[in-house]
This record gives sequence, structure tokens and C-alpha cells, in this order.
Amino acid sequence: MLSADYIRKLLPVATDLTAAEIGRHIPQAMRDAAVYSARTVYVGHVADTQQDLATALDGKMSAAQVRGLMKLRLRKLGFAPSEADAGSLADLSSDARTSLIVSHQMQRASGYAKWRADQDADILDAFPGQEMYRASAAKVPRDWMRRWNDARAALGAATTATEATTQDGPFVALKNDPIWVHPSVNRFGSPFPPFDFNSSMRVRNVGRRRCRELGLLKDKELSARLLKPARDPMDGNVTSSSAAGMDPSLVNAWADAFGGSARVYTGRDGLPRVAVAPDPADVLAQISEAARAGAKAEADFGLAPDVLTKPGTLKTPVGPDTSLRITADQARHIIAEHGAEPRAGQAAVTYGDISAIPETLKRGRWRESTEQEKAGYPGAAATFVGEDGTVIAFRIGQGKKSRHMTVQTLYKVKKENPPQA
Amino acid sequence: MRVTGESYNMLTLDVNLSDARLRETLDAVEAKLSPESCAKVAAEAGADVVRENFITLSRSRHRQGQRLNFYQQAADSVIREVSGGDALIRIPHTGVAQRYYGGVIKPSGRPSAVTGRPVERLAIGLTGSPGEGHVPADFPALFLVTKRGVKRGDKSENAFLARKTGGGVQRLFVLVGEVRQDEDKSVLPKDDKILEAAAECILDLYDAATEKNT
Repeated sequence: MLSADYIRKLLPVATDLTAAEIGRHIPQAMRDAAVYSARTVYVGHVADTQQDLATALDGKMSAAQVRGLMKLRLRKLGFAPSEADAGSLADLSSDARTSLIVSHQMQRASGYAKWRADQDADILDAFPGQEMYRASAAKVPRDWMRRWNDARAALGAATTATEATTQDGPFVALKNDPIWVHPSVNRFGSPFPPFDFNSSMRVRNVGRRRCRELGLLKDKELSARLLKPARDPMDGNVTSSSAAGMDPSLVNAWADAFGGSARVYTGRDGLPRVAVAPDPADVLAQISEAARAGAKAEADFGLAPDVLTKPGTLKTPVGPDTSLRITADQARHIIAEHGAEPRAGQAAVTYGDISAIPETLKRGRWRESTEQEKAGYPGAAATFVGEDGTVIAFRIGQGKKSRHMTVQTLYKVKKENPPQA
Repeated sequence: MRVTGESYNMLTLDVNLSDARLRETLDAVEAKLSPESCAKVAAEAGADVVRENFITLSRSRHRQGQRLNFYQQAADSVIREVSGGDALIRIPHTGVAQRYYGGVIKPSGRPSAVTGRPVERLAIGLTGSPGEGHVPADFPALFLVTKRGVKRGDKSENAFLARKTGGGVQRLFVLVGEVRQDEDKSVLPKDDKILEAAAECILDLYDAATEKNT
């Protein structure tokens, strides 16, 4: 299931921060890529819960079982709440807390799956809009009318949102309208529910003719822009977001939890930012699969190494948010050129070597590519020469929104013929 | 278009279907209304009806005080799939199929997460007790209580899981050898509702195709 895959891809992070502190001091890009629970420092518990949630989303375990296992695990870990916290949300093992985590994370994963499935040209044509509605009564209802209308007013001409005239809405806008991620409406910033903790607000499709009646399609230019399928941040792309105004020590601590997959840097505007790369093992496995199947695919599998972002190795250092990228076409090309019949002095390259690129890049050195390696490419290029004889050439490119270093070729020089470093 | 006058009170319009502009619109409509596209949007429309049905059930059947909302989670789990021109709706939520078809539920025999021993009896939360809507792992230090005179291995409703509370014993779960669940077809909406929604959304798709070519 897409929802289960989504939750499996997240990084479990231990944190002693409260939910409010996480919202204030942890950049969106890291929150989106992580599974965590406020004031939960048992990372093993978070990871096991993540697996159980994925099993439940696959339809192989009930939500009540996931909750029961959470409590059982915490008892085994020796967790005991303080007398004051017992039974409250602050008690990690309470019914209130464990239920909140299970329902929130399952809703988050299902929300993602629905959003992802909606990013399809036919679906956006037939159901261009969506409506937020209350699925069940709340003990203390939030003021969604005010939140919605505040966001609508702040967005002005950039939104197609209807004006809410009652606490029941109407809360309707085109599916990729900025109102869905506006902080007034959405506490978490992802374009899908849940929009707040313990919230029963859900979204449902609104058909094209109804959208027209509501005036959502009036501005042709705006609606055309908002009805383009959005890029999925889980599709192997480096994501970045602002860390301005956040506590640097907290941001750095979270970035450390991501290992080499996250980097804190200074953006072009001089403000701190964070870039997060997807799990390289997952990305490279998917690219290899696509290459074998003859399909087209491209994905980022990491961030450019520190050494290339500073002066000294390349004539022009690359930006700190530059991604390492690979395409299925290039993976196929590498196997065709250097696979079954390698050139003299070279060893055969396999898809295993492509999957091992992140490991290979840990031992060796970088340099400017030679003209021969650039093979007529007019732009900048860098080559990595591994201690094990693996040579990987990258082209440095600039996309519409991001910079990337794309694997151009990979070959392995036999040990008796060490490559030129 | 050619207009011919057959008499003073009748005109016949001969529409040239090979006209480039008309052909373009017809081609666009044909492409937009391909079997795959129609199946996709019909599946999504059907999925919406199924979601709505679960939400309605969650409002009437969700018991106060239960923190995990089974029907709301069932609604969240609904996804569409297509296989060529076939539209499919999947509900990957544990327990929905059991409710729909009904039948006998038996212990899995797999090791229990709590005791580590194979599960030979089902623990059913007692209505009105804190065990309702929960599993034994939710509670620490449960112990077995049997009715007086019950023999070892008896799997009738004579054994309970209980906990100590303030000097007393509170029964939370009854242990049974099997449970029969009646079928409940109302967990899914009627076919005609799904078909009606599917037909409506194809009109929306048609609307999109014509709008883009006018």
C-alpha cells in the first residue's frame, strides 16, 4: 500500500522536544521526512511503532493492536509515567497518547496516499477541487471558519478558496491551492490531512462542474497552474526549507539524526536552511529496477559532499543544496558499456555497484573531470576516484529550482591498474 | 457547415465532421474519455461513495470514549485502483471484510505478544468495561479468572482476563474459543450509489475535455 510505503520511508527520530518546540524549531523538510513523537527518546520504540503502523496500513494488523504493542513495549523498556502525568497526553503509555499517535500517523499516511493518487491529470480534470469537512463531532471544536478565512485573506488573489460563512464552511478550494498548506489552516504544512492534532477534519473530492458553480475555475491562468500534478517530495528528490529563527543547536541535532542525508547551510538570502535527501538505498534500488525494466526514472540519492561545496577541489564549488542524482538511462548505459564486456584493465560493473555508490563515495577523492571524461560536455563536471578502483563521473547541472550532480558514468579499474587520482 | 433550404419553413444543416476544429475537439474528447481514464475517475468516484458511507457509519456507530475510530480509519484507508479498463476500490483496513462477510473468528495460534505462548483463545473486551475496544496488551498485570468448577481446557465463556483495582477484581476480557460475527452488508454502499457517482464523474471528465477545446 502507498500509505504503508510512505510511513516505512520516514526516518525514526528520538526527541525530547515538545510538539510546540518541534513546530517552532524543526524545519519542515526534516519534519516531513521523519516519524517522531514529542518527548519520546526511545528511538527503538519509535522505529518498532513505525513498522507496526505500516503493517496496519497494509491491512494486516488492527489499530488497537498497534496501540497495545506500543504500551507493551514501553512496559518492557521500564517506562513509568510520573504520578502527575499518568493517564494524560504527557504519559507516553497512556490510552490518550498512544491512541493519538496511532490515529495521527495512520491519518497522515492515508492522507499522503490520497493526495499522491490525486496528482494525476485525469483525476485533477474530473475532481479539480476538494472540500474540508468535519467527519465527526469534536468535544471542543476549533474555529475553522476563522482559520480558513484568515488564510484566504492572507493569500488574496493567489487562492481559489471559497469564503467560509459558517463553522461548516464551505471550505472548498482547488486541490493544489496554497490554502491547504497555509499555517492558519494547516499546523503541519503537508498538503494533506491531518491539519491539526486530534482533528477529525477530512477532505473529499469536488467535481469539475461543482467547482465551476462555486467560481473556483474563474481565473483560467490560476486554475491551470493549480491543476498541474504536483511534484511528490517522496519521489526521490532533495527537499529544502527555511531554518530561519530556529534554535541552531536543535536544528543541528536533528540534522545529525539524518546522518549524511541532511545538511544545514546558509541560503542565497543569507538565512539558514536545511536540505534533506531521500534514503539512498531505496532510491538506488528503484532506479536499478527501472533501468532493468527499460523505464525512465531519475532520483536524488544524496547531497554533494562537503569537500565540493568549499573552495579547493573544484574551480567553482557547488552549492550546499546540490543533490547527487542518477537516471535509469544512465544506469542502463553504465551496465551496457561496462557490464558484461568491460574494457581492458577494467572489471565488470553490476547493478550491485550502482546500489553501492553511496558506500563507494566514502573512500577516495574528488577532482575536476578531465576533458575525456566530460566527453564534450561544456558545463562543469566532477569525478570521484575510489580507493577500490571505482571511478564515477558526474555532470554538474542547474535545473529550474535545484542544482544537481548527475552520474554520467561508472567504471571499475582492476587493482593491478590503479586509476589516476 | 452547409445550409440547404428545402422549403420556406425548413432548413437542413449539414455538419462537416472532417472540419479540423471539430475533429480536434472530437479527438480530444475521445482521448480524454479513454477506457483507462474513465476507469480511473469512476474508481475514484466510487471510492468517494465508500468513504462517505464509512464516515456516516462512524457518526452513528462510534462509541463514546473510544479513542480509535474504526470507521473513520476505514474511510481513510480506501484507495482506487485500475486494471486496464476495470475500476477497483480497495479497503485495506483490518476488520472491514470480516464485518461485511461475517463468519467465525478463531484464534490464530500465533505466539501472543503478551505471553509468548500460542494464542488458543480470543480475548473479547467486555462491554462497558475498560477492556471494550482494547486488546490485552493495553493493560499491565492481567490475570486469569475462571468460574468455579471450570475444568482445564474449557473454551466456553467461563474464563476472563482481569486486573486488580482498589482491593477488588475487575474483569476486562472474556476468553472464548471462537466468535461468530453476523454479516453486515451495510458497511458498503449500494451498487447503484457507486454507479451513479461513476456516471456523474464521467460527465465531469467530459466537461474538462470540452472546456479545454473551446
